[in-house]
Amino acid sequence: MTAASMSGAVHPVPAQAGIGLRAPHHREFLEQRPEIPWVEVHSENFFADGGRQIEVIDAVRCNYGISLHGVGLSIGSTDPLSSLHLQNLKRLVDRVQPALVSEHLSWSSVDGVFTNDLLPMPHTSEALTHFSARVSEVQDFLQRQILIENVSSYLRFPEDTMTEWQFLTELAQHSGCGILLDVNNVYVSAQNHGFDADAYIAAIPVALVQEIHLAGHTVVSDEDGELLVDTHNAPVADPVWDLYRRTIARTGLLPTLIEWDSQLPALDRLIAEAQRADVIAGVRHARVA
Amino acid sequence: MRALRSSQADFLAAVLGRDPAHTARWPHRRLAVYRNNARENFAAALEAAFPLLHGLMGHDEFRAMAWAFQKNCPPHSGNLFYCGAGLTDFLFAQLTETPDAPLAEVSRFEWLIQRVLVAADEPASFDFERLAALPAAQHGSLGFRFHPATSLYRSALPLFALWREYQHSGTVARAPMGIAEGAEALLIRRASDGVEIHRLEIGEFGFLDALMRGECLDTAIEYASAGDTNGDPGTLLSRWVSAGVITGLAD
Repeated sequence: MTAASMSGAVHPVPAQAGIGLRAPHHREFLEQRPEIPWVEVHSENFFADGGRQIEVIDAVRCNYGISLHGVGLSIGSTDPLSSLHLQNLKRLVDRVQPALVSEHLSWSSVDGVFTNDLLPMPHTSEALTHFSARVSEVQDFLQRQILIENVSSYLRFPEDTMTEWQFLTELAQHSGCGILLDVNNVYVSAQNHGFDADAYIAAIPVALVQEIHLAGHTVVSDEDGELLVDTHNAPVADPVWDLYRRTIARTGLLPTLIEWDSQLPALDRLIAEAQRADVIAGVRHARVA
Repeated sequence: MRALRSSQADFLAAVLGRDPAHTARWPHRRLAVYRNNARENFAAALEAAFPLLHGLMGHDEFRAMAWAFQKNCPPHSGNLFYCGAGLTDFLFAQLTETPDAPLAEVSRFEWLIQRVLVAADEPASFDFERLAALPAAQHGSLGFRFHPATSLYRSALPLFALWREYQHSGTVARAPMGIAEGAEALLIRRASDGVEIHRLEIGEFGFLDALMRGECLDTAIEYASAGDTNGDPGTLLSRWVSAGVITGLAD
């Protein structure tokens, strides 16, 4: 069945908070149909030819806005893009007709060997030209705009000639992609590399940002000091909420996602975290006990 | 692009720990975050695809096996579903002639289940009118089409009982796995939320296996006769057509 033959209107992704919908919550989510306007799913989890995952995404799209978020395309790699992966993504996009499609400012493979992690790009003119061409290739194939998300990083390349925010901005301006601004990732990388998170946010042109991510991280401390690791296994940290407040004060309201991928809480707890984002953004009033 | 490719190749070699010279260029603790992510993401994906194998091996041994597999047979796709594709071959190569050799068979069984879970959908559409319109003399030369989310599995190990125990309790005891009393013949098919596994008599397995391989009905009946099946071919066909396993006549 194609999207065109499926019933149900395509739901938008409004400037409110949504949740990352993961497999352990699928059944409960579909049974409860919680009052949340949109969800984001990992694209690759729905690349199946058929079966339960396809039933789930078809059911979810009938009542919620959907954002597809890819983790395995390895756009920044110098390997050729996987035609199979692109075809699977296109098939899913055609079926789901998501409001947003996003990938990462990262790479994962060399000579066909994958790490299954989001590795940082060198911030050089050569890398920018390459990444921009690859984003254009993906957008041409999908026949739509995609968003690119900044990733948390723990190392920087000695050959870097520009900052990440310069790289991301020029990428969006050259390729026509939008920016998925992960505020937690900005905070984590700022702490790890010693730059000013607010300067990063301030440097990104507001018009390019179409979605925000929030997530929990882990602080690792030893004799070398603190290192923040983007673990998605905890509530959003207070300093990240503060940075989020300052971010939306600048950008205005945007679709904001709570990402929680491991040590998943109960669905109610996850939704409460999203509602907290709405309260901070002023689109929902806090409940007074 | 040469410099970028070189940077990425060096960085990947450091993350994967392939070359001490590359590794030494980066702060150890920070590089370890990437290495741990790569290992944990891979192991977690394998664990999700091979829960029975994970239960049998235990968490620590399973993780060690996953990392050895990742190092020896690194993934060639960004889609984590495919990371389990080569595990059975890896385990057969590693475990043959050892007491743990049955674990390779467990992985083969579970990978088959994974394939069934993601196979294409196909609505029940058996064309009974077309069948009725054919002269009876032609029935023996007919072939049949199976639902894509169906697999047949045959093993000398009693995996059905282990799988059922794991489904019911979420745990499974590791014990030396012996040969079952006679080969175990199973049909695996996708259900509404998982898979159903049916134990088959050997004759019924031979019958369905022949049809699934594209043999005609007459040949499949010969396989059924060679086994111990109690059902006549018409009853067998009717059973699996009704169940939606046989979905139509082959073109």
